[in-house]
Amino acid sequence: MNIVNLKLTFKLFLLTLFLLLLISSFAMHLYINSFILSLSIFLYFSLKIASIYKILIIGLIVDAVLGYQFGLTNIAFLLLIFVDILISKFLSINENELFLYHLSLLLVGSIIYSWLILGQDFFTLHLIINFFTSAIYFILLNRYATR
Amino acid sequence: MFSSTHKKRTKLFTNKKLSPIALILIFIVNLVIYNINQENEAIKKIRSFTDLTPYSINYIIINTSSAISSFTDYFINIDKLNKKITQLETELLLLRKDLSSNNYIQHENKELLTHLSIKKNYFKNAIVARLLPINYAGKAHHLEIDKGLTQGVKPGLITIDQGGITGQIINSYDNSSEIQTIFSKKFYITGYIQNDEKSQQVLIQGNQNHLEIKHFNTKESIAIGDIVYTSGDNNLIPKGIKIGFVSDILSSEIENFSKIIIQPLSKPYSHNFLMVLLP
Repeated sequence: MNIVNLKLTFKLFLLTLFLLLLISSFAMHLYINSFILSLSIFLYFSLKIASIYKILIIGLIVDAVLGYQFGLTNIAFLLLIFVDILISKFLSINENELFLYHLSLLLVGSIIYSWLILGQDFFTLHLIINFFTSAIYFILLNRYATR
Repeated sequence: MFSSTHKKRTKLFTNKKLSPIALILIFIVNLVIYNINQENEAIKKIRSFTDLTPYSINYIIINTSSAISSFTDYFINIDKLNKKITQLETELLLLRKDLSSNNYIQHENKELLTHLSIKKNYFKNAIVARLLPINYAGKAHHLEIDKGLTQGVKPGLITIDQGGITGQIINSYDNSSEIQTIFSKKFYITGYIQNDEKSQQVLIQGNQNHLEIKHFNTKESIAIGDIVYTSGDNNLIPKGIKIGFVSDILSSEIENFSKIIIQPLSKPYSHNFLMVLLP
Protein backbone atom coordinates (compact mmCIF):
# COMPACT_ATOMS: atom_id res chain seq x y z
CA MET A 1 0.00 0.00 0.00
CA ASN A 2 1.42 3.33 -1.04
CA ILE A 3 1.16 5.59 2.01
CA VAL A 4 1.57 8.76 -0.08
CA ASN A 5 -1.39 7.73 -2.25
CA LEU A 6 -3.42 6.91 0.82
CA LYS A 7 -2.66 10.28 2.40
CA LEU A 8 -3.54 12.12 -0.80
CA THR A 9 -6.77 10.12 -1.14
CA PHE A 10 -7.67 10.91 2.44
CA LYS A 11 -6.89 14.62 2.09
CA LEU A 12 -8.89 14.95 -1.11
CA PHE A 13 -11.80 13.06 0.43
CA LEU A 14 -11.81 15.36 3.46
CA LEU A 15 -11.62 18.41 1.21
CA THR A 16 -14.57 17.16 -0.84
CA LEU A 17 -16.55 16.32 2.28
CA PHE A 18 -15.90 19.79 3.64
CA LEU A 19 -17.10 21.32 0.37
CA LEU A 20 -20.20 19.11 0.44
CA LEU A 21 -21.09 20.23 3.96
CA LEU A 22 -20.33 23.83 3.05
CA ILE A 23 -22.69 23.68 0.09
CA SER A 24 -25.33 21.80 2.06
CA SER A 25 -25.36 24.69 4.52
CA PHE A 26 -26.80 26.81 1.69
CA ALA A 27 -29.54 24.20 1.19
CA MET A 28 -28.24 23.20 -2.28
CA HIS A 29 -28.61 19.47 -1.75
CA LEU A 30 -29.41 18.71 -5.38
CA TYR A 31 -25.93 19.42 -6.69
CA ILE A 32 -23.62 18.20 -3.98
CA ASN A 33 -23.20 14.72 -5.51
CA SER A 34 -21.32 16.16 -8.45
CA PHE A 35 -18.32 16.74 -6.17
CA ILE A 36 -18.09 13.14 -5.04
CA LEU A 37 -18.52 12.02 -8.66
CA SER A 38 -15.59 14.21 -9.71
CA LEU A 39 -13.49 12.94 -6.83
CA SER A 40 -14.20 9.29 -7.66
CA ILE A 41 -13.32 9.69 -11.33
CA PHE A 42 -10.23 11.69 -10.44
CA LEU A 43 -8.95 9.15 -7.91
CA TYR A 44 -9.88 6.00 -9.85
CA PHE A 45 -9.52 6.90 -13.52
CA SER A 46 -7.30 9.93 -13.66
CA LEU A 47 -4.72 9.51 -10.87
CA LYS A 48 -5.30 5.76 -10.46
CA ILE A 49 -4.29 5.94 -6.80
CA ALA A 50 -7.44 4.54 -5.23
CA SER A 51 -8.65 0.96 -5.57
CA ILE A 52 -12.32 0.24 -6.12
CA TYR A 53 -12.68 -0.76 -2.47
CA LYS A 54 -11.52 2.65 -1.28
CA ILE A 55 -13.97 4.29 -3.63
CA LEU A 56 -16.75 2.04 -2.30
CA ILE A 57 -15.86 2.93 1.29
CA ILE A 58 -15.83 6.61 0.39
CA GLY A 59 -19.23 6.11 -1.26
CA LEU A 60 -20.67 4.54 1.89
CA ILE A 61 -19.28 7.34 4.08
CA VAL A 62 -20.74 9.96 1.74
CA ASP A 63 -24.12 8.22 1.83
CA ALA A 64 -24.01 8.20 5.64
CA VAL A 65 -22.86 11.80 5.96
CA LEU A 66 -25.35 13.20 3.46
CA GLY A 67 -28.23 11.05 4.67
CA TYR A 68 -28.78 9.15 1.39
CA GLN A 69 -29.95 5.60 1.03
CA PHE A 70 -26.89 3.41 1.67
CA GLY A 71 -25.45 2.17 -1.63
CA LEU A 72 -26.71 5.04 -3.81
CA THR A 73 -23.34 6.64 -4.52
CA ASN A 74 -21.70 3.25 -5.10
CA ILE A 75 -24.39 2.17 -7.55
CA ALA A 76 -23.72 5.28 -9.62
CA PHE A 77 -20.00 4.68 -9.53
CA LEU A 78 -20.23 0.95 -10.32
CA LEU A 79 -22.52 1.75 -13.25
CA LEU A 80 -19.88 4.17 -14.41
CA ILE A 81 -17.25 1.40 -14.27
CA PHE A 82 -19.51 -0.86 -16.31
CA VAL A 83 -19.89 1.89 -18.85
CA ASP A 84 -16.14 2.26 -18.90
CA ILE A 85 -15.62 -1.48 -19.43
CA LEU A 86 -18.22 -1.48 -22.18
CA ILE A 87 -16.61 1.42 -23.99
CA SER A 88 -13.14 -0.06 -23.60
CA LYS A 89 -14.28 -3.16 -25.50
CA PHE A 90 -15.04 -1.14 -28.59
CA LEU A 91 -12.62 1.72 -28.78
CA SER A 92 -9.27 2.93 -27.60
CA ILE A 93 -7.99 6.48 -27.37
CA ASN A 94 -4.61 8.10 -26.98
CA GLU A 95 -3.39 9.73 -23.76
CA ASN A 96 -4.05 13.25 -24.96
CA GLU A 97 -7.70 12.46 -25.25
CA LEU A 98 -7.99 10.97 -21.77
CA PHE A 99 -9.09 14.22 -20.17
CA LEU A 100 -11.95 14.54 -22.62
CA TYR A 101 -12.86 10.93 -22.01
CA HIS A 102 -12.99 11.57 -18.25
CA LEU A 103 -15.23 14.56 -18.85
CA SER A 104 -17.52 12.34 -20.89
CA LEU A 105 -17.54 9.87 -18.00
CA LEU A 106 -18.53 12.77 -15.75
CA LEU A 107 -21.43 13.48 -18.08
CA VAL A 108 -22.54 9.83 -17.92
CA GLY A 109 -22.14 9.88 -14.13
CA SER A 110 -24.20 13.09 -13.93
CA ILE A 111 -26.94 11.44 -15.99
CA ILE A 112 -26.94 8.40 -13.67
CA TYR A 113 -27.01 10.59 -10.55
CA SER A 114 -29.70 12.86 -11.89
CA TRP A 115 -31.75 9.86 -12.86
CA LEU A 116 -31.21 8.08 -9.50
CA ILE A 117 -31.73 11.07 -7.23
CA LEU A 118 -33.72 13.72 -8.96
CA GLY A 119 -36.06 11.77 -11.20
CA GLN A 120 -37.88 13.30 -14.16
CA ASP A 121 -38.71 16.77 -12.84
CA PHE A 122 -36.37 19.42 -14.25
CA PHE A 123 -34.07 16.59 -15.33
CA THR A 124 -32.21 18.53 -18.05
CA LEU A 125 -31.68 21.58 -15.89
CA HIS A 126 -30.35 19.54 -13.01
CA LEU A 127 -28.21 17.47 -15.35
CA ILE A 128 -26.60 20.56 -16.85
CA ILE A 129 -25.92 22.13 -13.45
CA ASN A 130 -24.60 18.86 -12.06
CA PHE A 131 -22.35 18.27 -15.03
CA PHE A 132 -20.87 21.75 -15.05
CA THR A 133 -20.31 21.73 -11.30
CA SER A 134 -18.58 18.36 -11.43
CA ALA A 135 -16.56 19.35 -14.48
CA ILE A 136 -15.29 22.50 -12.78
CA TYR A 137 -14.33 20.54 -9.67
CA PHE A 138 -12.68 17.84 -11.81
CA ILE A 139 -10.64 20.43 -13.73
CA LEU A 140 -9.56 22.05 -10.46
CA LEU A 141 -8.57 18.67 -9.06
CA ASN A 142 -6.58 17.86 -12.20
CA ARG A 143 -4.82 21.18 -12.01
CA TYR A 144 -4.03 21.45 -8.32
CA ALA A 145 -4.39 18.04 -6.64
CA THR A 146 -1.13 16.39 -7.60
CA ARG A 147 1.16 14.05 -5.79
CA MET B 1 13.34 16.13 -42.25
CA PHE B 2 10.57 13.67 -41.98
CA SER B 3 9.27 12.99 -38.57
CA SER B 4 6.46 10.82 -37.45
CA THR B 5 4.53 10.83 -34.21
CA HIS B 6 3.69 7.57 -32.61
CA LYS B 7 0.21 7.63 -31.16
CA LYS B 8 0.03 5.37 -28.17
CA ARG B 9 -3.34 3.68 -27.99
CA THR B 10 -4.42 2.88 -24.48
CA LYS B 11 -7.11 0.80 -22.89
CA LEU B 12 -9.52 2.87 -20.87
CA PHE B 13 -10.21 0.51 -18.03
CA THR B 14 -6.76 0.04 -16.61
CA ASN B 15 -7.40 -1.66 -13.27
CA LYS B 16 -6.64 -5.22 -14.23
CA LYS B 17 -6.52 -6.58 -10.69
CA LEU B 18 -10.26 -6.69 -10.37
CA SER B 19 -12.02 -9.37 -12.35
CA PRO B 20 -15.37 -8.55 -14.00
CA ILE B 21 -17.04 -11.31 -11.96
CA ALA B 22 -15.91 -9.72 -8.68
CA LEU B 23 -17.15 -6.41 -10.01
CA ILE B 24 -20.56 -7.87 -10.80
CA LEU B 25 -20.70 -9.45 -7.35
CA ILE B 26 -19.88 -6.13 -5.71
CA PHE B 27 -22.57 -4.47 -7.80
CA ILE B 28 -25.16 -7.06 -6.78
CA VAL B 29 -24.23 -6.71 -3.10
CA ASN B 30 -24.47 -2.95 -3.43
CA LEU B 31 -27.82 -3.23 -5.15
CA VAL B 32 -29.08 -5.46 -2.34
CA ILE B 33 -27.87 -2.95 0.28
CA TYR B 34 -29.58 -0.16 -1.65
CA ASN B 35 -32.85 -2.03 -1.89
CA ILE B 36 -33.17 -3.51 1.59
CA ASN B 37 -35.42 -1.76 4.06
CA GLN B 38 -33.22 0.84 5.65
CA GLU B 39 -35.88 2.01 8.06
CA ASN B 40 -34.98 -0.47 10.79
CA GLU B 41 -33.71 0.79 14.13
CA ALA B 42 -30.03 -0.22 13.75
CA ILE B 43 -29.59 1.57 10.42
CA LYS B 44 -31.59 4.55 11.71
CA LYS B 45 -29.24 4.80 14.66
CA ILE B 46 -26.18 4.68 12.38
CA ARG B 47 -27.81 7.26 10.11
CA SER B 48 -28.72 9.63 12.95
CA PHE B 49 -25.16 9.29 14.29
CA THR B 50 -23.41 9.87 10.97
CA ASP B 51 -25.82 12.18 9.12
CA LEU B 52 -24.17 15.58 9.11
CA THR B 53 -26.43 17.28 6.57
CA PRO B 54 -28.70 18.92 9.12
CA TYR B 55 -25.54 19.94 10.93
CA SER B 56 -23.82 21.40 7.90
CA ILE B 57 -20.79 23.65 8.27
CA ASN B 58 -22.92 26.70 9.07
CA TYR B 59 -24.80 24.78 11.68
CA ILE B 60 -21.62 23.29 13.12
CA ILE B 61 -19.95 26.72 13.25
CA ILE B 62 -23.02 28.31 14.85
CA ASN B 63 -23.32 25.49 17.35
CA THR B 64 -19.61 25.59 18.13
CA SER B 65 -19.62 29.35 18.63
CA SER B 66 -22.77 29.02 20.71
CA ALA B 67 -21.12 26.30 22.78
CA ILE B 68 -18.00 28.43 23.24
CA SER B 69 -20.08 31.46 24.24
CA SER B 70 -22.11 29.32 26.64
CA PHE B 71 -18.89 27.96 28.06
CA THR B 72 -17.50 31.48 28.50
CA ASP B 73 -20.82 32.71 29.92
CA TYR B 74 -20.72 29.86 32.39
CA PHE B 75 -17.33 30.87 33.72
CA ILE B 76 -18.17 34.58 33.69
CA ASN B 77 -21.41 33.86 35.54
CA ILE B 78 -19.66 31.59 38.02
CA ASP B 79 -17.26 34.42 38.77
CA LYS B 80 -20.13 36.91 39.04
CA LEU B 81 -22.16 34.56 41.21
CA ASN B 82 -19.21 33.93 43.49
CA LYS B 83 -18.74 37.68 43.87
CA LYS B 84 -22.45 38.07 44.52
CA ILE B 85 -22.34 35.30 47.13
CA THR B 86 -19.43 37.00 48.89
CA GLN B 87 -21.25 40.33 48.76
CA LEU B 88 -24.46 38.79 50.09
CA GLU B 89 -22.58 37.01 52.85
CA THR B 90 -21.00 40.30 53.88
CA GLU B 91 -24.42 41.97 53.81
CA LEU B 92 -25.85 39.11 55.84
CA LEU B 93 -23.11 39.51 58.44
CA LEU B 94 -23.76 43.25 58.63
CA LEU B 95 -27.49 42.65 58.93
CA ARG B 96 -26.94 40.08 61.66
CA LYS B 97 -24.74 42.56 63.44
CA ASP B 98 -27.44 45.23 63.03
CA LEU B 99 -30.08 42.80 64.23
CA SER B 100 -28.00 41.90 67.24
CA SER B 101 -27.41 45.57 67.91
CA ASN B 102 -31.15 46.25 67.51
CA ASN B 103 -31.99 43.43 69.87
CA TYR B 104 -29.55 44.82 72.37
CA ILE B 105 -31.05 48.30 72.04
CA GLN B 106 -34.55 46.86 72.31
CA HIS B 107 -33.58 44.96 75.43
CA GLU B 108 -31.90 48.06 76.82
CA ASN B 109 -34.96 50.18 76.09
CA LYS B 110 -37.21 47.68 77.78
CA GLU B 111 -35.00 47.68 80.82
CA LEU B 112 -34.79 51.45 80.84
CA LEU B 113 -38.56 51.68 80.59
CA THR B 114 -38.88 49.33 83.56
CA HIS B 115 -36.49 51.42 85.58
CA LEU B 116 -38.20 54.63 84.60
CA SER B 117 -41.53 53.10 85.52
CA ILE B 118 -40.16 52.06 88.94
CA LYS B 119 -38.65 55.50 89.37
CA LYS B 120 -41.93 57.16 88.44
CA ASN B 121 -44.04 54.95 90.68
CA TYR B 122 -41.83 54.40 93.71
CA PHE B 123 -38.66 56.47 93.75
CA LYS B 124 -39.31 59.98 92.53
CA ASN B 125 -35.87 61.11 93.59
CA ALA B 126 -33.92 58.31 91.89
CA ILE B 127 -31.84 58.65 88.74
CA VAL B 128 -31.29 55.98 86.14
CA ALA B 129 -27.63 55.35 85.40
CA ARG B 130 -26.09 53.33 82.63
CA LEU B 131 -23.53 50.71 83.56
CA LEU B 132 -20.21 51.31 81.87
CA PRO B 133 -18.45 48.29 80.43
CA ILE B 134 -15.26 49.21 82.26
CA ASN B 135 -13.79 48.70 85.67
CA TYR B 136 -10.84 51.00 86.21
CA ALA B 137 -10.24 49.68 89.67
CA GLY B 138 -9.99 46.14 88.38
CA LYS B 139 -11.63 44.80 91.52
CA ALA B 140 -14.10 41.96 91.77
CA HIS B 141 -17.73 42.91 92.44
CA HIS B 142 -17.22 46.49 91.38
CA LEU B 143 -19.18 48.30 88.68
CA GLU B 144 -18.95 51.70 87.02
CA ILE B 145 -21.92 53.91 86.18
CA ASP B 146 -22.12 57.02 84.03
CA LYS B 147 -23.50 59.29 86.72
CA GLY B 148 -21.34 61.12 89.18
CA LEU B 149 -21.04 64.16 91.39
CA THR B 150 -22.46 66.41 88.67
CA GLN B 151 -25.73 64.49 88.82
CA GLY B 152 -25.72 64.38 92.59
CA VAL B 153 -24.38 60.87 92.98
CA LYS B 154 -22.11 60.59 96.00
CA PRO B 155 -20.55 57.75 98.03
CA GLY B 156 -22.88 55.90 100.37
CA LEU B 157 -25.92 55.96 98.09
CA ILE B 158 -27.38 52.63 97.09
CA THR B 159 -28.30 51.31 93.66
CA ILE B 160 -31.31 49.14 93.01
CA ASP B 161 -33.00 47.21 90.21
CA GLN B 162 -36.53 45.86 90.05
CA GLY B 163 -35.56 43.04 92.46
CA GLY B 164 -34.00 45.11 95.17
CA ILE B 165 -30.67 46.51 96.28
CA THR B 166 -27.76 45.80 93.95
CA GLY B 167 -24.89 47.69 95.54
CA GLN B 168 -23.55 50.85 97.08
CA ILE B 169 -21.64 53.80 95.65
CA ILE B 170 -18.17 53.84 97.13
CA ASN B 171 -16.44 56.44 94.95
CA SER B 172 -17.85 59.30 92.91
CA TYR B 173 -16.20 61.35 90.23
CA ASP B 174 -17.54 64.18 88.10
CA ASN B 175 -19.39 62.03 85.61
CA SER B 176 -18.97 58.51 86.87
CA SER B 177 -19.18 56.50 90.03
CA GLU B 178 -17.90 53.23 91.36
CA ILE B 179 -20.32 50.71 92.82
CA GLN B 180 -19.53 47.94 95.23
CA THR B 181 -22.04 45.19 94.56
CA ILE B 182 -23.84 43.24 97.25
CA PHE B 183 -21.62 40.23 96.55
CA SER B 184 -18.46 42.01 97.68
CA LYS B 185 -17.10 40.85 101.01
CA LYS B 186 -16.63 44.51 101.92
CA PHE B 187 -20.32 45.18 101.47
CA TYR B 188 -22.15 45.68 104.76
CA ILE B 189 -25.68 46.86 105.25
CA THR B 190 -28.11 46.85 108.11
CA GLY B 191 -31.47 45.25 107.52
CA TYR B 192 -34.38 43.59 109.16
CA ILE B 193 -36.03 40.28 108.65
CA GLN B 194 -39.74 40.56 108.30
CA ASN B 195 -41.77 37.61 109.42
CA ASP B 196 -45.21 37.16 110.86
CA GLU B 197 -44.23 37.82 114.45
CA LYS B 198 -41.90 40.82 114.38
CA SER B 199 -39.01 42.41 112.58
CA GLN B 200 -35.47 41.57 113.63
CA GLN B 201 -32.52 43.93 113.02
CA VAL B 202 -29.49 42.23 111.47
CA LEU B 203 -26.12 43.08 109.90
CA ILE B 204 -25.75 41.64 106.46
CA GLN B 205 -22.47 41.06 104.65
CA GLY B 206 -21.77 40.15 101.06
CA ASN B 207 -20.00 36.87 100.37
CA GLN B 208 -19.16 36.12 96.70
CA ASN B 209 -22.46 34.77 95.42
CA HIS B 210 -24.81 35.40 98.28
CA LEU B 211 -25.28 37.48 101.40
CA GLU B 212 -25.06 36.24 104.91
CA ILE B 213 -25.80 37.07 108.52
CA LYS B 214 -22.84 35.69 110.41
CA HIS B 215 -24.31 35.68 113.88
CA PHE B 216 -28.01 35.33 114.30
CA ASN B 217 -29.48 34.64 117.69
CA THR B 218 -31.12 31.27 117.63
CA LYS B 219 -33.70 32.44 120.11
CA GLU B 220 -35.14 34.76 117.50
CA SER B 221 -37.67 33.27 115.16
CA ILE B 222 -36.63 32.90 111.55
CA ALA B 223 -37.77 30.73 108.71
CA ILE B 224 -36.50 29.95 105.27
CA GLY B 225 -38.14 32.25 102.77
CA ASP B 226 -38.35 35.26 105.07
CA ILE B 227 -37.68 38.50 103.21
CA VAL B 228 -34.85 40.77 104.32
CA TYR B 229 -35.24 44.55 103.90
CA THR B 230 -32.96 47.50 104.43
CA SER B 231 -33.46 49.22 107.75
CA GLY B 232 -32.24 52.55 106.38
CA ASP B 233 -29.98 55.11 107.99
CA ASN B 234 -32.30 58.12 107.78
CA ASN B 235 -29.82 59.76 105.48
CA LEU B 236 -28.56 58.01 102.34
CA ILE B 237 -30.22 54.60 102.49
CA PRO B 238 -33.99 54.49 102.52
CA LYS B 239 -35.86 51.97 104.65
CA GLY B 240 -37.73 48.98 103.26
CA ILE B 241 -35.74 48.17 100.12
CA LYS B 242 -35.68 44.43 99.48
CA ILE B 243 -32.32 42.77 99.95
CA GLY B 244 -33.12 39.07 99.61
CA PHE B 245 -34.74 36.09 101.21
CA VAL B 246 -33.50 33.56 103.76
CA SER B 247 -32.39 30.53 101.84
CA ASP B 248 -30.51 28.54 104.47
CA ILE B 249 -29.91 28.48 108.22
CA LEU B 250 -26.53 27.03 109.23
CA SER B 251 -24.99 26.42 112.59
CA SER B 252 -22.34 28.85 113.76
CA GLU B 253 -19.09 28.30 115.75
CA ILE B 254 -20.51 30.44 118.52
CA GLU B 255 -23.05 28.82 120.72
CA ASN B 256 -26.66 30.02 120.49
CA PHE B 257 -25.97 31.68 117.20
CA SER B 258 -26.57 30.50 113.67
CA LYS B 259 -25.40 31.62 110.27
CA ILE B 260 -28.09 32.77 107.86
CA ILE B 261 -27.63 32.57 104.12
CA ILE B 262 -29.56 35.16 102.14
CA GLN B 263 -30.10 34.90 98.42
CA PRO B 264 -30.41 38.38 96.90
CA LEU B 265 -33.52 39.27 94.90
CA SER B 266 -31.61 41.61 92.63
CA LYS B 267 -29.27 40.69 89.78
CA PRO B 268 -26.49 43.27 89.71
CA TYR B 269 -24.67 41.74 86.75
CA SER B 270 -27.55 41.24 84.36
CA HIS B 271 -28.51 44.85 83.68
CA ASN B 272 -27.51 47.72 81.50
CA PHE B 273 -29.10 50.27 83.83
CA LEU B 274 -29.36 50.66 87.54
CA MET B 275 -31.21 53.19 89.63
CA VAL B 276 -29.32 55.32 92.09
CA LEU B 277 -31.50 56.37 94.98
CA LEU B 278 -30.77 59.99 95.80
CA PRO B 279 -31.48 61.18 99.34
